[in-house]
Amino acid sequence: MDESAKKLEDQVRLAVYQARELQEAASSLIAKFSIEEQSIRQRVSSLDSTLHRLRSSIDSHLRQKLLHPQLSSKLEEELQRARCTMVDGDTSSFFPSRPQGRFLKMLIGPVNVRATRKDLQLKFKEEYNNYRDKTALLFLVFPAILLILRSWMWKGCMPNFPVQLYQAWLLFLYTGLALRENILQVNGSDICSWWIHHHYCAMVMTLVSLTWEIKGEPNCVKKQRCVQLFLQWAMMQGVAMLLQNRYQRQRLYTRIALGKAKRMDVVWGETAGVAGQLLLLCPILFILQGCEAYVGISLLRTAFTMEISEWQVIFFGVLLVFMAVGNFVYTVKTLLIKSRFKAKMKRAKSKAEMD
Amino acid sequence: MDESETGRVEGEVKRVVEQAKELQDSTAAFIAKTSGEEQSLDEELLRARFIITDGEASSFLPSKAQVGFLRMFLGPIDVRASKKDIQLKVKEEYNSYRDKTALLFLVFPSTLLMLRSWFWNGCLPSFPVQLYQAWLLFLYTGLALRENILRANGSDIRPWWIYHHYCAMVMALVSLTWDIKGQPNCAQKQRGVQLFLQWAIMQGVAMLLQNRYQRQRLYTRIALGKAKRMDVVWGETAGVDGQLWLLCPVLFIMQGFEAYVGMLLLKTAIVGVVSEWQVMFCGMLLVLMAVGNFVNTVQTLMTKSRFKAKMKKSKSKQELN
Repeated sequence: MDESAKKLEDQVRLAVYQARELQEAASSLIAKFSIEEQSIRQRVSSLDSTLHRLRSSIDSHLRQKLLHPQLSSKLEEELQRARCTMVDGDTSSFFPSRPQGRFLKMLIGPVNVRATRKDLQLKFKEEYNNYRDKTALLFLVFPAILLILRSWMWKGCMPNFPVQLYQAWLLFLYTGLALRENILQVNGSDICSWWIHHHYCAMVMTLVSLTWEIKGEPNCVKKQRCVQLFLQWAMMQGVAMLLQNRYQRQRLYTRIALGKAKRMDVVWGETAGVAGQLLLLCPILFILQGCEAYVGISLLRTAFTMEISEWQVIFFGVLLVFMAVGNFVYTVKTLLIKSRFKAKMKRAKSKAEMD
Repeated sequence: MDESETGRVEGEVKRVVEQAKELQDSTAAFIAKTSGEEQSLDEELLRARFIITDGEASSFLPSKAQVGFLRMFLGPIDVRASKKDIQLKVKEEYNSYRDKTALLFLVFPSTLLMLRSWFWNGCLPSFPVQLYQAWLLFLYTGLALRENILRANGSDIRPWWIYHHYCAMVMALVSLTWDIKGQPNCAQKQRGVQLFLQWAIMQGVAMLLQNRYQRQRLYTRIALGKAKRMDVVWGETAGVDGQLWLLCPVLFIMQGFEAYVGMLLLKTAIVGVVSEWQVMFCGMLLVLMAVGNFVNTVQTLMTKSRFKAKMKKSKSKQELN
């Protein structure tokens, strides 16, 4: 028995020694890694500024007519290709990170949410798209069920609890979307900030709707008109989300495929593949935004003519109109950018064919 | 019987008794020796484990798949900080966040209750209270997210405290749906709201006290970490023990109060005029939180005192050797 006790003691001493050794090895590896990482970061940042400098000097040469326009567009294309090689490959994790937005800082603190590798970033984006898919469906199903039950079971009068449960779920959902989109932005996605602000507005709207007491009998139809309008708005949002998801998923798959083929320099041309879908998507989006504005104005009108005295109704109306206008403006902007881009690509392609 | 026989038997008995005594002594010595060795082995193992989990090697431990709350809100992002000093920075930020909010926790409801007596004639208007409840919800969500992140980074926060914040989130959410009725008969109808605000003030006091205690612990850890005394970090609890014994009675009183407020709410719902489901729900939730807090505080105390006793024994053994 003495021998086995001694053996045990020796093993434990060995374990402690190994732990100390591991500690030393880990800290030296981390130190070495951080030195290498630092040097790559410096190189990335200097190359980035070189690219910027070259672009602006090309522009100035062109303006001073020192450069042939054909040559300048070819050079710009090369620069763009170089930049995309950096931005869409593993180098992207070494770019100076975008400062974390206030929303993220407020909710989760100074944690670094930047994924270290490109494939992790793409995996995160895939998960985001899946999340949107699941929720877009629920977005249609829940309010539809509520409205159906209202006609068939509740005799035109919705009880408080199911609607509030739905509103709480909406709040949780929009918060998750806003957080994920902030994280995507930190990871280098080019999501326009407006869409994130749109989700903030939606969060505020659901929060306010929670405080709204849904009055019951009598005269249900009149009092619950606003709730009905709110649910209709929610269904429209669901449809818009479903359509946008399909479009985004196409884009992402194209990027992943090109990335896997290591054709980093061609990723920037991926928009061509999904341009057809975009032209189909936009009219529908415009119609939905028009409906959103209409719901907002209806709410405002209801507040003023039917003398509903709750501040929530006016607040909703104003917020909905604001969101509809913002969505419209930014959809138009996105369209313009993409069509300009597409035109540029067409020109470059035809030039390449000519040469 | 012969005298020689008697003498022989006596001698044998004496011998047997002596043998038994000898056996007893050597067994006792053996047990003492092995248990003492086990003690120091145990200690050594603990030391080895702390070097791994608290040192630089901790970033190379395999990460648990993120489940539940964090995954729901943030998706599959890895929130583990790569270096130990960043992890400590995250913890520091969490503590300063709690500090800021603990103060606001006291100030907001106190302001509301004071304005109620002086300005609003005993009747709280809907909007300020709902604004405060929305802020509470946002605050608890931030705390719950941060604590989940701390756990992912290897902190030993007990899961109950995170569940407690989930319960508080649900409570703030439910309280938002609570229509605060106005005149007439304000005092009676708003009794539930008043109790809720009093609970919030108590939470603020408990949070302030806990913050002071946690900050002491963290500073000790940072100081020991800087001195690269990784193997001694595990002994840091000794330094803040005095504070813990001051903190716990106060916490118990708070938890008792929390249970009391919960039961008052339940009584108001069952007996009184207020018929909304929110009152009963908040009452039950408060009692649940109070009981859970009490049980977990007691468990934490026991764990720490056992740990301290073990340390004392090992220290005295070291001094003996």
